[in-house]
Amino acid sequence: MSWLTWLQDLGKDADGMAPGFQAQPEYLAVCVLLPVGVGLLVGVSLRLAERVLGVELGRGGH
Amino acid sequence: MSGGDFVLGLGSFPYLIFFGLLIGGLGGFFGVGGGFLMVPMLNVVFGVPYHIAVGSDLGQMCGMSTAATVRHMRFGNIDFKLGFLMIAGTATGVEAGARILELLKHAGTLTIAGHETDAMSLVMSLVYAALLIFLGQAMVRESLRTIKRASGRVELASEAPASPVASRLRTMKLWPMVNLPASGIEAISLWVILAIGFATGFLSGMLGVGGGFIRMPALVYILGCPTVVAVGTDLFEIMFSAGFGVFTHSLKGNVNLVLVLALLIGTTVGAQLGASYTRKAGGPWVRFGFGCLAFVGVVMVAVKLWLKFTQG
Repeated sequence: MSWLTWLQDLGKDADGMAPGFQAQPEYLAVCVLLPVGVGLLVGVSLRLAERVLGVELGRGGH
Repeated sequence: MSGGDFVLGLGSFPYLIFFGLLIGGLGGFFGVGGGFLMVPMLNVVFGVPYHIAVGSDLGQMCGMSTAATVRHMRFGNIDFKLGFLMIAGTATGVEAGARILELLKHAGTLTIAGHETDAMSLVMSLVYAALLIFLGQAMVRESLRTIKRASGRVELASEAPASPVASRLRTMKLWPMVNLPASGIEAISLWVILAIGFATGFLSGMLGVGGGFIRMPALVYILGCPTVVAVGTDLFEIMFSAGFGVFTHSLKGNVNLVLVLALLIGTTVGAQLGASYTRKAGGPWVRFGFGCLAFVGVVMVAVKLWLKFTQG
């Protein structure tokens, strides 16, 4: 669970003394890269699976 | 209230994956994103504050739409020129929506009839209830019409006609005019494209929904896009609006990465399972079921709001 703790820790305020939430650069990067990375991985994997298996899988909601 | 104030217990990670699986499955089954169910249910079931639910749901949606766009690209049904032009309106809308949510987040509490409740929960619950009622009744009415058509009680119409407003917007000659060869559109005002982007972006930024239920009909009936191109371009636009949305909400501390990961895992698997079952079930009864499900969502939001209002 250490990587989950790491993800949770990333969301902590970078500067607790400053007004409002001060995002850490790593937090900002992971917020965008995590979904895009997982999305690319899933999309490419499904396309490969369709090509290899020769079937069209369901397209899902989005 | 900053993003750091809400801590999600890691013990709820498996439950959130299951929740994502359920919503993703429903979304895949009904052929929709499910964002309008995801955010209120995260609040009702897990007690996730609305601003965190919106920011994190946009992260989940960004991943799902990226995967869907990658798969859809092979069909060549994305009008990239239209998509990129719309981005300016979408980005402005997402930012405006996120800032409205930020205002609500800091609005504090309201006292109504001697009961105190926080302004964000009250406003967002009411907005979501209205949205779910609108979508639910639209889906139920459309599915019942289709069922009647199939049974021969209503005459078949080839395609729903565009409304007078849609026709007027389509023929408006407000400079600059752009042509969209991929969609077969000779000339359309750029302002119409930007306005559609802004409206759907605003909904994404404030409510964490994809906005396809507005963008899709707008692309088809206002711009005159072929439906297949509208589907592909809508996916592309959701990917951008969710991507920009998760970025701007992360600046405001509204994204919980553990929640994003759990939802991503659950929804990607669930959407595939749901989509494979919908082939077996399919048809207007599926959409009728979805419409009823939206009304169940309304009841849950109303009960949660009532309890919060009366018990504090």
